Formats: sequence, structure tokens, C-alpha cells
Amino acid sequence: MAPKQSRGEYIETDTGNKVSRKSVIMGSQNIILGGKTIIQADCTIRGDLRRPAQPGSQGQVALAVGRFCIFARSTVLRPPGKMHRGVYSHYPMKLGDHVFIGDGAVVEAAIIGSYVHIGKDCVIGKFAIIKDCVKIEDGTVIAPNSVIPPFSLVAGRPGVVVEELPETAPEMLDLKAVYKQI
Amino acid sequence: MSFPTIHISCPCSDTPSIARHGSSGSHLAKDHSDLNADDPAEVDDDGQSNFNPYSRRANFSLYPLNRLLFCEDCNQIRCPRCILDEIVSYFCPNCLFEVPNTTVKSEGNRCTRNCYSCPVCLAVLSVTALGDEGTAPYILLCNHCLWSSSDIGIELDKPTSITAQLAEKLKPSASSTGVSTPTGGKIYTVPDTLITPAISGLATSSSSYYPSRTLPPLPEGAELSPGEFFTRLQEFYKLLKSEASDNEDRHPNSSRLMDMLSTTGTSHLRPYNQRMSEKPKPGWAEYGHNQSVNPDDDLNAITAISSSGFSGTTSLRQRLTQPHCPSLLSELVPLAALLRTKRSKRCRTCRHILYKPESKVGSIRCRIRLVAMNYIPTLNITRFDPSAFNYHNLIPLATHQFLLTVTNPLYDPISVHLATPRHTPGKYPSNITIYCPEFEVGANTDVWDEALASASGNPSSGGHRAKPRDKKSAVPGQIWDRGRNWTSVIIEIVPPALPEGVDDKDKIVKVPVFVRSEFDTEVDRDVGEIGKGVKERREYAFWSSIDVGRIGKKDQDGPQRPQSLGGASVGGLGERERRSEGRDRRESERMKRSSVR
Ligand SMILES: [Zn+2]
Ligand SMILES: [Zn+2]
Ligand SMILES: [Zn+2]
Ligand SMILES: [Zn+2]
Repeated sequence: MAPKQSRGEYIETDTGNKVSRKSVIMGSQNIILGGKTIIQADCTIRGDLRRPAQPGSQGQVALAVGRFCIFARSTVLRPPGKMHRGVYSHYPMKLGDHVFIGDGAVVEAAIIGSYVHIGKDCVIGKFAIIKDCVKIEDGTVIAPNSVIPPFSLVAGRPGVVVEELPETAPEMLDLKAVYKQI
Repeated sequence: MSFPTIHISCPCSDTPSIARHGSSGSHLAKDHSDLNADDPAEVDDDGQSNFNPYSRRANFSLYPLNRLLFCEDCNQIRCPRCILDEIVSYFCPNCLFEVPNTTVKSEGNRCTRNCYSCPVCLAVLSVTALGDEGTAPYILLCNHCLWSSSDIGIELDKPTSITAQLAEKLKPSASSTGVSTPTGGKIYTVPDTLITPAISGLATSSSSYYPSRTLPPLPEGAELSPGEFFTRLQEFYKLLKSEASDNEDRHPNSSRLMDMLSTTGTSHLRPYNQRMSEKPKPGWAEYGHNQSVNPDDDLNAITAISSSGFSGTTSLRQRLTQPHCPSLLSELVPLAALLRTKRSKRCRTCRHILYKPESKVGSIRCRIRLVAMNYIPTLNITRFDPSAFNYHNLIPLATHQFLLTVTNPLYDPISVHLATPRHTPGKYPSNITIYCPEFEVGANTDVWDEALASASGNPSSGGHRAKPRDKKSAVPGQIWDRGRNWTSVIIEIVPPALPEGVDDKDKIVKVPVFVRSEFDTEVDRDVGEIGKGVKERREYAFWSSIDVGRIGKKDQDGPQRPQSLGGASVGGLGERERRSEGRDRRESERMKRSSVR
């Protein structure tokens, strides 16, 4: 967690999102924040990476984020992309509530559930699916296309489930109290 | 190890009696009895003895709060040692499909869909098309280390029903380099060259005793693959069992046991063993005899390793995760995903259900969930003086003040009694003083009240950290601060000066704290009108152990760089030590690049 920043460091939205002025948000019109989400300094969020809008239809959302998410310093969120029928196209990234992404982590997951803690310097590979109540230890590298089931503690390179989280995982990974402190 | 950490002692362990002065035969207690002698059980309220967190057995009873459940019927916390697990459902952790019980019994505990993990690095394998336009042939490719099934000469014709295709390809007749992967009960075969000496030795020689039973004799010099060998062995066991069970009652579960093929039931083994003494050449003895090494296989292995080089051999983990324990990377096969379970938990004493998850695989919801943190007060300790401070280097003989915050999870106010011995029960006792051991903690009222309180500037930031205010002074006999559902008191610790060469475990200051919370609650809230207004006094009591820090050297020049600041909550998930610390950063860079590809 970065130390408290001086007043005016964050732009606060109506729904309680706090976005650092020092973060890089690209394609912000394609990003939906659910509210009470904190984006700290030097984060890079690539909302511009999305499938081009089909003629006649509205542009797609590139990144949907739930409530009480925290993106610590220098995190990178990049919607995943791959070659599909000869065209390189991006797919939307969806995050649930109470998702913490640690300093310097790079996330290219397709879906991240609720109550997910991603440690410092983690790399979450393309199209990874992380279900609810998952803790990923610092420095873990999750291989592309991985699926992490609920109540898992993941560690290693590549990340494998090393332990089950206890029944109290939702309380442990709740970020409401952390949100209040920032 | 991170400091400070708080653990709670589950009473299902008999640990507290170990620390009882002189009453225990344990030599550990004797070691410490002289230290405790001048300190008669202050905490002995109801004849309960002091808890000793230094006792070696204490390790078995101490758990962080988040691991504990609570049994309402026993009015007691329940730890993983005193709960029973019951499997609700099996599921594949990769495709997240539930696997029916019957399938698990017949097919085994691995996914029979398309879920495979890399035999080299254990990452997930994805089906990748080699054709230009996403067409056949397909391979199983590891996106982490780039191992693929083509490394062992396997290419697939279609991107679905991988298990069946792999089984086909791994048959020795189909491919000379093919190997086996038992995904559950299905038995695939392994080429003869991969059979370990012990097994092949048994396989060939088994012909010598099979004829004596009614099994068909093996052709002369026939080599059995482990799969075939397994089937034969299974038949052999069945034969043994049928003979053994002739002269006794059949165990109702024996047929099920047979299916699982762990071994014959113990009840059947005994008469068999008796018969073994009569027969001069029973199967078991033969097995032991034939474990001798076949020199040809050894030679083959040496030639193979010398041609592949050291880099071509498997690591211990790689070898042990494979059913045929290969020594060469070229002999590895994709691993079918191991199933995971959803389990409900019961109290071991009264059998009531304490936790019951929904059977739906992806769901984290549950029908019943009695976790201890919703019942017993939560302890939380922080440094009183918030300046930089090293928990790994407590200065001896100095007075260290900490704030102990007690948070109430209940909707009724509680009165808390804290108790500690005057000295920690370790080899080198520290002095402990709690300024105010008896106090009230407010009720855990609505979230709305909390929101209003924090809006009006009250320091109730989730009740987790009290900010020292100027006007307050640390007066013994008074609490330090209180909020909506929390109260904090000062606890003072004076660590001793340690002689040279002290064991690291003796340097850690572990403070045993007995916590008793009492409250009046309405009887049977959910009964409705009848129970209304009738109050009942309840009490929760438990021992906890606070690991405050490590005692440092006496004349430390200047404070060292603080390693851990801030407090630890009892419920913190952070007790697992960081694994990847100190790993080469370049490695992660490389991984990033390869994952981008
Ligand atoms: Zn227990
Ligand atoms: Zn599966
Ligand atoms: Zn791999
Ligand atoms: Zn019970």
C-alpha cells in the first residue's frame, strides 16, 4: 500500500472513485468503474484496447470494474487480445468487487471475481479467469488461459494453487476498511 | 515470521494443562516451573491453568482467528482439529464442472474432459492449432514454458475429447514413444522400455505363481505394461480376497474397498497372513524378492541420460507427479487435472453443521456459516508510539507500550476481562502489564451508525486503529480510547536482556492473554414475540498468544530499518511468508515477455 498522498492527489468522482492525477487512463470512455474504486499513481489502464465497434452498434466496454477495488501504484491493466480469424482483436476485461491489485502487477486477465487479492509484482497472463475469494502471493506469474477456482491461495512461477483459503476469506479480503483509510 | 501476530488457542487441545505448575509430568513444564514458582496462577479464575505459548505442544492448538469456526451448541470455538469435513461435491479446478460421485468412483479423481497441465511446469495446457487457419493438427501447448505435446510426438486430430485422443496416442502400438497417463480408472499402457525394473521384474516372474492360482499363465518372456500389470494384480487381489473371505463374514464395504483397490481390508489380511506362514512361496515375499535391479535396465537408463544430458532429466517434482516416474523429460506426459472438493464442516463433539457451502461450483455462498470472528471479540495490537520501530529488534530492558484493541462483533455490548501472567512463561520472561484489564466494548450496531460516526469525524475507521490524541495520557487503570464497537487499552512489555547464544525461539516475546467476554442477550432472537425481553447472560472465554516481536541486542546503535510497521489483525491472511522474495527480477521480466508472445 502506498503511503497516504497529499490532498488533491486524487480526482474523486460522484460514485466515490478516487483516481490519481498521476495515473495514465487511456480510452476512459470504454471503462466502467462501479464506485469506491481507487486508482493510485503511475497506473496504466488501457481502455483503448477493445474490439473496434461494428458499424451500427455501440462501442464495446473494454474494462468493467466493480466496487471497492484498489489498483496500487504502477499497476498495468490491459484487456487481453489474440488472433481471431486473421485479425488481432481485444476482449473485454471484467473485475468484480473488492479486487486488490498490488504494486507493479501486470494484469491481462479476462475475468477476475470478487474478493481477489493480487500481490505485488504479479503477472496475470492473458485470458486468465480468477474466481471469487482468491489470494495470489507477491511475485506470482499466472500462465495465460489459467483458471483459478474459488478459495485458492496461489503462488509460484507459474502460479499453482498451494492451499485452500479458509471460510472467512470474504472478510479477510474485504476492502471497505482500506478504502476508508485512503 | 511477521510481527505482531495473534493466535487463538483452541480448547480441544490439552495444552493448557501442560503449563500447570508441577502438576504435569512433562519435562517442559518442569523446565519452567521454577520461573513460574513466584508467580502463582493469577489468571486462575475458575481453576483454569495458565496457557504457555512457548510449550512445544502449543503449536498444535494455536490458530489465527480466520481459521476458526464456532459451535453454538457447544458454545466453543472449533479449530481444524476438532471439526469434521464432509465432501459436498467434487469439481475440476480448471473447467469448473462438477463431477458426480459415481464418476469419481469409476473414473478416479482426475478430470476426464480436456483439462491437462504441463508436465514440466504444471501450468495449464491449452489446445493450440498448428494449421494456418486454426485447423488440424492440434497440440497441447504450455503458454508458460512453451512445452508442447509435439515434444513427445503427439499431435491431435481435433480440439475436443482430448482424453480419449491422448489415450489412443499413448498406446504403445500407436506410437513407439508413447507413454501412459491414467486419468482415473481408465488404464493406459506404457511402452515396455519405460517400465521400471522393479515392476518388470515382478511382471515376468509373476508367471511362476499365477498358475498356482487360477489366473491364466503369462506367455513365456512376456513383458507387461504397468497398466496390464495393474489389471493382473487387481485380479490377483480379488482371488486372494475371495479365498480369504471364504471362512469369515464378508465386510459390507469390502467390495467397495476392492474397487478403490487400496488393498484388501485388514480383516481379510489377517487370515491371509496366517496362511502365508503355511505356504512356502506367497506372493508378497516374491514381490520383495523380485525388487532386485535388472542390470540391462540400468544400462539403458545410463545410455539414455548420457545422450540427453543432465538438462534432459526430470526434477524430483516432475518425476513424482507422473504415474510412471520417468527420469527423462522426453518421457513426460500431460497431467490430467486433479479434482478438488467442496466440503461442509461439522463439530466433532456434537456433530452440528458449522459450515455448509452451496454445491454450485463457482459460488462462494453458503447455507450455514458459523465462523468464530462473528462470535468472539477480535484482538488487534499496534505499537503505541507510531514512529519507526523494528519488531525484530525489541530493545531489552526498555519499556515497550502497545495498544491492544478489542473489537466486538456482536449486536450486544460486551464486558471484557483480560488477564495475563505477570511474566511471559518463556525461558527468559518479559514483564507484562495491562493498564486496564476490565472494560466495556460497545455493540456492533448498524453500518449506518458507523457511516454517520465517521462522517462526524469520530475515530471509528472500521474500529481498527486508534489514533493517539493529545489530551490522553497513559494512566494505569484507564482505557486509552474507545469507539463504536471497539476499545483499546495499553499493554506494557519489558523484555529481558538475553545472554549470548540464545535460541531464536526464546528471543520471541509471546504474551499469553486470557480473554473473557460477557454479555446479556435476548434468548432465542428468532423465536419472535415469546422470547422477547428475556435476557440471558453468556460468556465466551479463550486463551490467545500475542507474538509481539523478537528481543534484540542490548546496545544497538541507532534503530535499524523497520521491517514491519503497523499492526497485525488476528484475522490477517499475511502470516504466510513470502515465497518469491529474493528471486531474480530478470526471471519475471522474461516471463512477462514470453507471456506476451
Ligand atoms: Zn480445536
Ligand atoms: Zn476439467
Ligand atoms: Zn510448462
Ligand atoms: Zn458442537
